[in-house]
Amino acid sequence: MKSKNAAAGGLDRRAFLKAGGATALAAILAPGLAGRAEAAFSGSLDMLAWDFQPDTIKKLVGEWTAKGNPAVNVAVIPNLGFSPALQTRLRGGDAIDLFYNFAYNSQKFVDQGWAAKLNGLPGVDDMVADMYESARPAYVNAAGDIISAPYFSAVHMMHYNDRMLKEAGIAAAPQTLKEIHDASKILKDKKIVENPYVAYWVKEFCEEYLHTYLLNEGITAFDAAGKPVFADDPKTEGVFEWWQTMYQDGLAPKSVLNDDPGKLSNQMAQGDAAFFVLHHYFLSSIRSLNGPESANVMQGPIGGSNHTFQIGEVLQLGQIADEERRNAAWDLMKFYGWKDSAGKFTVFNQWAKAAGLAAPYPGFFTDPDVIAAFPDYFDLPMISKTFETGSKVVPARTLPWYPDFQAKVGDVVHALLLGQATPKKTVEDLTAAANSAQKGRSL
Amino acid sequence: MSDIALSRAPRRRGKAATAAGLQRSTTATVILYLCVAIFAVWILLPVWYLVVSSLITPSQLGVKPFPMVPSSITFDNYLSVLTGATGSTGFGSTDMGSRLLPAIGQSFFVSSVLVVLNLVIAGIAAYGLSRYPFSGSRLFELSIIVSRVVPAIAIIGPFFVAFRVVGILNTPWALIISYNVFTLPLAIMILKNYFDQMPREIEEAAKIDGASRLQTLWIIIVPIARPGLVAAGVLIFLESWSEFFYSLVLTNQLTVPPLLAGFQSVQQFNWNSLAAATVMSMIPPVVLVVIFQRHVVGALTAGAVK
Repeated sequence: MKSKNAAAGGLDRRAFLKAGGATALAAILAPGLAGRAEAAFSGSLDMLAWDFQPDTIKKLVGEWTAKGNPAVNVAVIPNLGFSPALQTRLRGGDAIDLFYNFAYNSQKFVDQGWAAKLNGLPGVDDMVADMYESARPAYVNAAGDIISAPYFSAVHMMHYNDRMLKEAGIAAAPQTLKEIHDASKILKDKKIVENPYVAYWVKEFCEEYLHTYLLNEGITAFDAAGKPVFADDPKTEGVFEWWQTMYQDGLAPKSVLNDDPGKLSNQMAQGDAAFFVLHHYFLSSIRSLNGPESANVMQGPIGGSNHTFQIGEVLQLGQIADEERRNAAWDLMKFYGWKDSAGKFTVFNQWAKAAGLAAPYPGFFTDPDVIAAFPDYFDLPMISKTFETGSKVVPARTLPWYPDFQAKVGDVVHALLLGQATPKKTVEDLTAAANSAQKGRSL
Repeated sequence: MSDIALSRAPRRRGKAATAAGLQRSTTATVILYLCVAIFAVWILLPVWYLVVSSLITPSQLGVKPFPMVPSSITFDNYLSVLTGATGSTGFGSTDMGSRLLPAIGQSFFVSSVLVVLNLVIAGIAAYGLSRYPFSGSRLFELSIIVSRVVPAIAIIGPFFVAFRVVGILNTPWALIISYNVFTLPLAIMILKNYFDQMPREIEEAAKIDGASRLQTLWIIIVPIARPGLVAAGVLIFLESWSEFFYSLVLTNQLTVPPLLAGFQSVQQFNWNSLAAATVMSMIPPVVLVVIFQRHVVGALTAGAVK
């Protein structure tokens, strides 16, 4: 029996090989195109996100589905309590194909078998290659395992009130810790503002500031193996002296140990503070509050060879046994945490519009759509440069023991700020906390 | 209930009188009322702060001192919560309008079903414990109290697995079943205490008249115990209305508390909208408490004076 093709024009050996080669090539290349319709998986995918614009999440994945991809069931729960809820669900056998996660939980989830390594999935090496080199250790561990994709990224920045600085005769935004202290003191002494410096120093967030301030002085807290090398650096004690002095001398308000970022943004907008150190996108909050000083708030550069802290939360792929389902979920992950099928940062662009969030890809900052999405008060080249050369992630933060250490930092730092511990003891306590966490001695 | 507990102290003008009939000086009365006023302010201040926060703009929220009586008010926060039309990009949950009212409805449904269920089960259990003590019943009562102090995180796992197998995750039934862990002991404790105070002579009279145990319970005891049942019902309603963790794990923001927690995201904080949503979600329980508060106080203090 002859095939129709053979009858029509003849399927000779040459044509067969040509067609076969093209098919094979398509099979190899097609999965690499992010978000490309596969149609191999006919079911629906399950995605768990936290509550930031859930309608936008549904809209975005809806657009992905409309391009011939599987439907996605999006479940949303609050950020508050997300980790225990997610872990309880996964431990209870819930099958979640794609989920938001905190970077510090990412390695633990892989180790527990709740999240898959991404190595070998089509296009994943390109995704990693697309990232800032500074960002890669957040997603690729020391052993080369690719454990997550970006959900959003940010860098800690100095937000400062330009008008107040000019009034105080301060020529430029302070960059080192000493400059920050001196500028704060001048502003306080000249009665321009009572408590010039604010930061989100609640216990849960002190760990981020630990890295921000240490990096600001050129200290990377942990080495590649997770050893707490900050303990051996003579400059570390000075960082804690600075931190304590800022609080004890009233350069930061007494309430700052309990304040929330909304209040701190408002203090900047109202002119009750001159400096606010937190993620770069908090400039959006300060500006959108339309307070009397909102328009005077700018972002300061990270100077010299010092760095600021680069943070971000991640997407993780569930442990999916079915290959077609896994490929479909990976396609969704690429669309959500990298680029769409046209090579555009569709999802990241939306988060940039919504809240000034960023993605750890140099191409993100040069994309015309992204540039248009960011309000003009953002200095995108400066933020991009901060990602590229002015910031570091701390790879130890993804290690399984890290959350135990993180949980202790707040208590130790608050004791320091309240004068209950010396800078020297703080270094010792944090070192002990890191060593204890690594030995598996939990809280 | 004892006669003394039901008796009223004589009312006097000019000088207040104690229950024992001793006169209180004007100074003492003034101090007493002042303390009550300070306590009331202390209790109500956060609520007032919440209400004011829901009626002002974000920039007014940051003004020092906080405007306890705002010079201008706006209903935009309520509008934005209900419609998502904030006029600003800085809003975490833009579809809150389509989620808040259904969540209030679900909270109401879960709480109401739980009240009915608990009053029936706890009513029978408490009556049995009160009237038919058995060897080890005191220990049984203590074990009920102990079950109240077990943290939710310790027992949520088995619930999750069971509900996943049965297929009722993300439904009100998952909450109705799991909430019994903390509401049922509460209801049993309150009702047992209440039944203990009720005179047994009435039941004995009903028994002489030929009523069965269940008939006695339904026809005689339940009407007399209505204040206690109402009080227990209100407290069960409030407990389930404000429950967060079971709802967080077993559902996807089905009820009010996890939905409100969603206002505090990693990326943004919106206290004005949160305040508006909180005020709206407080209305059903507040109305309930206002209607039944007399019964709640009465039942909780039952047996305090013998």
